[in-house]
Amino acid sequence: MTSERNMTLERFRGILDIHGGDPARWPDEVRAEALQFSRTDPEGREALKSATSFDNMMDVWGVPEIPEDFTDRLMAGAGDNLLDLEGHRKKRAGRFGDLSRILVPTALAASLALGVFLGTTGLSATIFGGSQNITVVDLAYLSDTRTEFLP
Amino acid sequence: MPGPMDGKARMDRTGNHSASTPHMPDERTDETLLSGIAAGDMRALRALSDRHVGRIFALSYRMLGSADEADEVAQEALIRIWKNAGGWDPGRAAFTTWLHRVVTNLCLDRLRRRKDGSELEENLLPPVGPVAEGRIAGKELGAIVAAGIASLPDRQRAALVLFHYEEHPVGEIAEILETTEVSVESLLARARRSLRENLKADLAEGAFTAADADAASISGWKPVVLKGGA
Repeated sequence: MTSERNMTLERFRGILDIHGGDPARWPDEVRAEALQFSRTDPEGREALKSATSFDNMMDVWGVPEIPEDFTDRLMAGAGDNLLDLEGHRKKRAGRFGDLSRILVPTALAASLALGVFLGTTGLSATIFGGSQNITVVDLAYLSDTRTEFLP
Repeated sequence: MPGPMDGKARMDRTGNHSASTPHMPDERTDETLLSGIAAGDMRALRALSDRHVGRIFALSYRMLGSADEADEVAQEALIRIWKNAGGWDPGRAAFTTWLHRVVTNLCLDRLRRRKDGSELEENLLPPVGPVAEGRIAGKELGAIVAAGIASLPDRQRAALVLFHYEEHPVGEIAEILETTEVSVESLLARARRSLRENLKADLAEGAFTAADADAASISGWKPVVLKGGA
């Protein structure tokens, strides 16, 4: 457990340098200790006062007002780029969309035809070594370890 | 994580304002809007822009010191959102963190380009006029602060702007700047110390009286040399 005796002026100034004079912005784990220090140590109190003033001084720097139609202006300004990107995106989606409309059914039909062909002609047994009794599981592992079926 | 209305609250605190909008506020979350944008929904882009544009502009303006450039950065950020919405992964970072990283990087790129000699930064900042009758009005003080922040190294400036003005916690700034929390703390400490020194020197050149301090709500600011108001 920490106490205010662990807080030194140097450490307190370090906290102020990093986090400023608003205790709400200080790290949770040091807030209570630092606040206690600022109440009990005269130099700590002055340091906090100075840091708070410094924060307030920074706040004097404002940002110009932005008009209500700022988003409209931004959208209009970015318009060509947005439309270009949108066109590109649609074009790309369209290209892959057309391709997938053709490729996916074709691949499925080809797989089905190949399966039926291999199953009905017994060609698979010829391909994989003639008379050996090949199961579906054997075929499934073929690519990994079961190479003994290969001619 | 800062919510959609945080920008407004923050702007109010610092005497500014958020991007007000004539449209009805969209209740959808950022992530839902991003899904809409990915599907090509311009209205979703508008809603997301309305929600965040105030903070984007404020961050860019404070980083660059130029409203025109802040405008351009906001526009570039909008295009980035439109472009990247499809690949958005909500598991990786909060949208606001990602957006602030994009904007900060756009600003840092511009600051880097300026250093290559294309532009003189001082020309972009509001001029600090002669101090009339030894007084510094709030507006002039604002310009002095702006110049002081502009003189900081880029990443120190980014850390300070993100922490003080945008009220991001240190952890989020580390994500935005793609560094560690310890590094962010170091950047913040160096930024404040340098700024304090810069302002002390700048303000010492003019006169800064207690009345000015009251006017600017900064009573208690000590390291200022008074010149007697002549």
